[in-house]
Amino acid sequence: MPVQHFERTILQALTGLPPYTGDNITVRTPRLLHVDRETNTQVLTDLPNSLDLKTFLLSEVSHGVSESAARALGRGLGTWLRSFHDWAAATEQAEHSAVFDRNGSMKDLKFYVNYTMLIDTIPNFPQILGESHDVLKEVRDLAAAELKEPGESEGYGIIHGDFWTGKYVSAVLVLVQLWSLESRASY
Amino acid sequence: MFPLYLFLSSFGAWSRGPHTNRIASILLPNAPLTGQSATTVFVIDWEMCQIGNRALDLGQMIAELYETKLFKKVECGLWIVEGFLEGYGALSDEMAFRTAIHVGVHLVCWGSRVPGWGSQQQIEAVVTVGRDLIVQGWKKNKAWFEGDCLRCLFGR
Repeated sequence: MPVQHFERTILQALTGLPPYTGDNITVRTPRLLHVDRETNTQVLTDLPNSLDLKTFLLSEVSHGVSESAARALGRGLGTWLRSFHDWAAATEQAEHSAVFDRNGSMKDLKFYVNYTMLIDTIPNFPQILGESHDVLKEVRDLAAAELKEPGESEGYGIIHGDFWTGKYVSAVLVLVQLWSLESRASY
Repeated sequence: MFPLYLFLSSFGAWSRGPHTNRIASILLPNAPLTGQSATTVFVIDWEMCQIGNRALDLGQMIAELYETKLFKKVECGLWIVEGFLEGYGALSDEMAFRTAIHVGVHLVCWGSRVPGWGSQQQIEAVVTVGRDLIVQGWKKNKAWFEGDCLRCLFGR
C-alpha cells in the first residue's frame, strides 16, 4: 500500500480529533482539502509565514521567549500528543489501526535509522560507546522485539512516527531509503 | 480563520526517489511567542505514522528540543520539554525509562550527524549524554535521573 495512502488516511481521520487550545496556544493538524492523484499532490490548509520549531528556536524571532511562554507551548504540544495517542487507541479507531499495522516499511525504516544506526555509530566513537557495546545491542534487540508488539499492548498504538522539530540534509537518509526500496522490491 | 492557500506537499517522501531533506513536523508562525496573542501550531508530516511504542514519539521530540540546549545553549528548549511532559501527563516508570532510552538513541545517532552544529568536542559531549541516558535508562536507575536535566521524565 503506497505511503501516500497512509498519510491521506490519517489526515482524513484526524478531522475527528479536536484541536488543543490553552494559554493562547492552539495545536492542530492541517485539513486535507483535495487530493490530485495524477500529480500526487495534496492540498492542505496553509499556515502563512510559518517556520518549523527548530528553525524558530535557533532564530532571532525566539530570542527573549519567556519561560512561561515556552512552557505553555510545550504543554500545548504534550497535551495534544496525549490526546492524539488516546484518540488513536479508542475502539472506534480500530479500522485505522488495521491500516497502519500494514505500514511495515515505515516501521522498519524507523527501526533502521535509530536502532541499527545506533550500533553502526559505535565505531565512530569507540572511546565513548565501546564499553557500552553490550547494552546498546540489548537496546537494539528490545526495539526489534517491539516491532512485533500488537497495538493493544500497554504503551503501544498509532504514533506519529516522526514527531520532531526541524529539517536537515543527510546523505544517510538517501542510503536508507534506497535500502528500503530494495527490501520492498524483494517481497 | 486562516486564509486558504494552496500548500503543495509531495506524496511519499520516504518511498520515492532520492530524498535529501526532511520537512519539520511542527510548524508555527514566524513571530515572537509572547503568550499574549493567539498562536496556532500545526502538526504535519504524517508519512511515518505507524503502530509503535509511544515512547518513540515522546523521545524524538524531547531529544530534538534537548539538542538545542546541548549544542546552542537555547535554554527555552528545556522549558518546552518540561511543559511538554507536564501536558502529556505522568509517565509510568517503564515508559519514562523507555523514553529516556530513545532520547539517548536519538542523540547518539542524529545528534552526532547534524551537519555544522558543533565542534567535534561538542558532538562527543552530546554522544556522551546520549550514551548515559541509554545506559541509565536500561538499568532503570531512577536515582541517576534525579540529578539530570531530564528528571522531568519522572515528574521531578
